Amino acid sequence: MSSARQLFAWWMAGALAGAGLPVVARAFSNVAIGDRLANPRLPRLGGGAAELLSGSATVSLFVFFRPEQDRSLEALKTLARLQQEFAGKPVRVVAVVSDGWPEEAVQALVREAGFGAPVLVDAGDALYGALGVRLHPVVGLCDRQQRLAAYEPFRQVNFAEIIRGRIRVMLGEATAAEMARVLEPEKATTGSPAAEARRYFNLARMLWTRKNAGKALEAVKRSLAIAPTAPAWALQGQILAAGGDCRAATPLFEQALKIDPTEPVAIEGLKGCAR
Amino acid sequence: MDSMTMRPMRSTWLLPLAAMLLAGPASAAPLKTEVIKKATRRGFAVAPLPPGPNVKWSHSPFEAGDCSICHDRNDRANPGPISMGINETCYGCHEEFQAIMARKYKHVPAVETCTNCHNPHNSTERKLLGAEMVEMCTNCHKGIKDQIVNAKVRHDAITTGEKCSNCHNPHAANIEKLLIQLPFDLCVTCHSKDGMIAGDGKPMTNFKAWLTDNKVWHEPVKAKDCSACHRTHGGNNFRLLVAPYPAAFYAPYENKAYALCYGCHNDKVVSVPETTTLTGFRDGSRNLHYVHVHKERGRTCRACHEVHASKQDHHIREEVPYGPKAWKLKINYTRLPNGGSCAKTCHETKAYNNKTLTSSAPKK
Repeated sequence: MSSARQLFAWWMAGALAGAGLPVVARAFSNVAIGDRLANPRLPRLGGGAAELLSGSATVSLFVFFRPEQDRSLEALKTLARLQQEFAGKPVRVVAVVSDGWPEEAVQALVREAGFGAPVLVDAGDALYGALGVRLHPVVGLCDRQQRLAAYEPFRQVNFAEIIRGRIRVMLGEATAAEMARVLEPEKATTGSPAAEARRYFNLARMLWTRKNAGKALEAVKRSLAIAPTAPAWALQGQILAAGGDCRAATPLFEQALKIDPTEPVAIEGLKGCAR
Repeated sequence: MDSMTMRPMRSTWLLPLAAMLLAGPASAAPLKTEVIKKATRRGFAVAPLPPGPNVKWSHSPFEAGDCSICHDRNDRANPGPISMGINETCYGCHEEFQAIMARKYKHVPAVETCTNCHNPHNSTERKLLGAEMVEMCTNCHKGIKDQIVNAKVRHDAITTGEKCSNCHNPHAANIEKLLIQLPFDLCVTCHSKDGMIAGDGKPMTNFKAWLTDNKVWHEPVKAKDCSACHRTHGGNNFRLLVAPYPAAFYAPYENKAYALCYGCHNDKVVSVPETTTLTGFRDGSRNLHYVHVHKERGRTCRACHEVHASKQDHHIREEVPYGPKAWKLKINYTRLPNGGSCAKTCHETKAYNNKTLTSSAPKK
């Protein structure tokens, strides 16, 4: 590393330490959630310079990435999509890359990802070292006061969901409870006893519509054996009552009404049997 | 964790190296695999299969001869067309699938038509699948098929229990890749018991117990992202690792041997002798990772770090296995205000200071 870069690295570390950053905090190794970050002005890929964080945007998102890494490509593609999704909202996105990489390699990755936001060049990995980044790709999100609000390393599954969720929470578009569901999505089960019972009930209803009382009765009994429900008790009663067996049907209607006093087939069935 | 043992004999590092060379180059897993979008779908029979000993599963209405539940006529010989759209017909009884298919991530064949995968009459397979599950799924998911067929290290989850459906919901899910739960929650469904043995005969970790006892979790574990490091459909690296990592305790250093770790971490953390920014494990600017690793018998990452979780910061392990009986030798790491120190037994007590620019130790 050149002496100029080394000096910059230590200036950066000093600036961050001056901002009261703890050394052992989580998130980035040297920065904890809630800490205010220094806001260095860094050279931009392709010329010019820009600050790491926005002074006006509600969300300042930065991603550390590197070329020759599939995950960085995926991360930049995802962030490019999200940037479009949040276009017109106070969300600012930048990427940060070490100056140790050839500019052409960085340009190629950025192009392939379709990433149109500014790419800042971290001379001598000074910012990387000062924040304690430790891995690629990783996203930091800061609020308007330039405090770190979230830290999200890339992940193979649901990365976009999580970053989108973080941004939406910061914009006030989503609640903490909604974010919790993004982080812990509901288990995607298929079968359940209730669903199986409902399936046989539906089959029984169809068979009954087709005037096949015997098979309808068989199917509804199967449904009730798996998970008794008011509609199933009522349907069984209805089939029996239609066959003239109100004596057997009445307790079934009553059973249905115990579970659901508003069960319409059971109410009608009881009325019919009382006539 | 893995029962990697530190060998007292100097020449034994040659064995794993030779094994690695004989095994050929291990590959990094691609993030995405090929999926055939259209051509091979609808290749499975939907007409009734002729009765036979292998036709073990039958759809209730078909078995009972109630053709009119789905078709125009109740006539086995000539049932006519189905009365409504295919999925609409299925949902008539299987109504829970309306809610399932409302989930965010949907399997395209399931959206198109249930009969892309199911025979609505009878089948040789459970769930009336048109073919054996792995065969059917990989009929489109060619990239996964390649991984499974060519894997030197296989994952039992693919071939046992519910097979693909152990982890994926083939209809729809709330998680990308149609995962039933986040990867970690799926993995610990099996990897949370003692006594599991890997294909190489080594015991596997009970992760629930390990993570309960060790509270400093590696970032992918915290993110429930086991697939950051493990290739779940099968691969060429031991422990289904997505990229090469030395299988032995000692290994001569070369960047590509650590492709797994460098998939996320910066290789310069280890590969450059001097740094003032990339790591805190430095004495002044002297990179102590470099010092430990760049030897003929270089220490691999596992010499000092626990991969999944540890009791100490920086995933530093408390002890290392040594010798054929895997005696436990303490590392005795202590965090200090300006860095840290390690004491016997790996070496005499040595401290490092990462708050200065220059090293007090002589350079070799």
